[in-house]
Amino acid sequence: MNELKLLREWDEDAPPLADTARARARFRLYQAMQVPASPAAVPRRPLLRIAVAAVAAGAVATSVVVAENTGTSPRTRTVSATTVLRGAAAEERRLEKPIAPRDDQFVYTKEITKETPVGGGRSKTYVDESWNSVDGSKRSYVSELEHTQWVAPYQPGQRDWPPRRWSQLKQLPTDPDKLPIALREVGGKPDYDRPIKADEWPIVQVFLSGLLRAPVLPKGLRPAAFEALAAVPGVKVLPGRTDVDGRAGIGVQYVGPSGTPWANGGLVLVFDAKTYQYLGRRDRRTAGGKTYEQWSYVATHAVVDRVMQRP
Amino acid sequence: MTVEPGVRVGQDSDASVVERSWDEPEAFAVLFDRHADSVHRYAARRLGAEAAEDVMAETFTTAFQQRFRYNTELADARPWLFGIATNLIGRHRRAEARRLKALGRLPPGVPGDQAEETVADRVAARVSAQAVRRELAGALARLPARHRDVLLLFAWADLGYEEVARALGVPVGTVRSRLHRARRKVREALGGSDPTAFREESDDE
Repeated sequence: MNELKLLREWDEDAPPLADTARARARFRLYQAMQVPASPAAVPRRPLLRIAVAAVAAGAVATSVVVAENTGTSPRTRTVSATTVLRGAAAEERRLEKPIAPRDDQFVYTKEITKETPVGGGRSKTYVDESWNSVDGSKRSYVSELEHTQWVAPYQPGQRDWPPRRWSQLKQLPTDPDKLPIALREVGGKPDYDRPIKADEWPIVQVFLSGLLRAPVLPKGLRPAAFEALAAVPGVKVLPGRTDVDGRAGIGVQYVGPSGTPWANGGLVLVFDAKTYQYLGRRDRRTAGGKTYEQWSYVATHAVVDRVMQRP
Repeated sequence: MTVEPGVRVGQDSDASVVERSWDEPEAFAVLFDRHADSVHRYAARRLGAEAAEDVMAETFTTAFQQRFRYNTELADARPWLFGIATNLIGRHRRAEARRLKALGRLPPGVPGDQAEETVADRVAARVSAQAVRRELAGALARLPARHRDVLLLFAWADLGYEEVARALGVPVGTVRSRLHRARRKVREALGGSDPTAFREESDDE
């Protein structure tokens, strides 16, 4: 009706949310994520809490063993996360076959995810093929656990962080000292002279992990991210071996300070136990009251000219 | 697969995002990316750009802290987010009233501050548009806060009756009656039955 129409026209051409304001607000949200979850959370997620508590306890125990270095059992003498991640970076630089897509092309990826219900049950393997527009100007076709959908082109001013569009990923520095600082700035102008403060590491870690979840990255970015992750306090090698599909693996995981949302650990990056080559990631998912262990890796990737075109 | 910060808009329902954020707090950033603009716009219309940034940021940190209370049967999180934003705006009640009164007091005949507003008929159009705006601001300022909340959630947050009811935690019937009264008062303040007649003069602007 009329007065509603008039109200809706009120300040119609007001300036949109500025990038800097968006980044500030987003950063406040991330800071809130570092505060312990409300106690109300506990009754709602009993199974998960217990499972995660066990993981956290395991991580703490390992660090004690390593720190004391009693040497009573050779099995506890594990390599450090730094060694694994630097080795992985070197291996990635040696093996990487860089792609150079044009803005009008698509990055095709085929990812395999094997899901196993925690506490027993049949595993299921998902094959996800996706076509992502290089500069985000075209519709992308994305598959997640075989749930497929078209994703609309980016709107002016629309961004993600860490970036997902190839054209923006290319602009991130491949220097492992600069990358965390660029990620910290959430798209703002990085101040490389200002070192990362202790309370900024958790958020830097979130962005590095987000970046490493991308199936394909521009040349030099994944090795830089591995090396940058090696510098994050709280990144640890998981105790024992993290074998995947019959292959001997080493798991690396970030465990945040206690009382933070990351205290329980999350994403586990898995590397070949001998060469430290990156193999894939282990993760957890909760849906419909069930928790699943996931093992995901990229089977194929390529540059193609259009959606549904396979290499 | 887990949602990481930066997942594109539209890949999943808000409720699933909230549920994922229970285990993986970073997932909540997806909700921010989806709704930051509209929450900011709503707050900016009510309080001005400066306070809006703060209200928007606090809306999402508050929502994050309350994520375990979210009813995941409700796919769309907008009513929840706008409800939080409206509560936060409530803390700025005096600032909002001052702003509306100031807008309501703008002297008639001020032709706007844009340099290009020189052509006489444009000035005239602008003046009548401003007059409408002034009347609107005055009418909004005189509304009881609970009526204003309903009206503006409806007009500026684009929520329906049910959604406004969810946002404010009141019955739908209450929303209907408050909206009815608020609209009637605004209509009266705009000079009676046909406020668009007034507006028509400025349509060429």
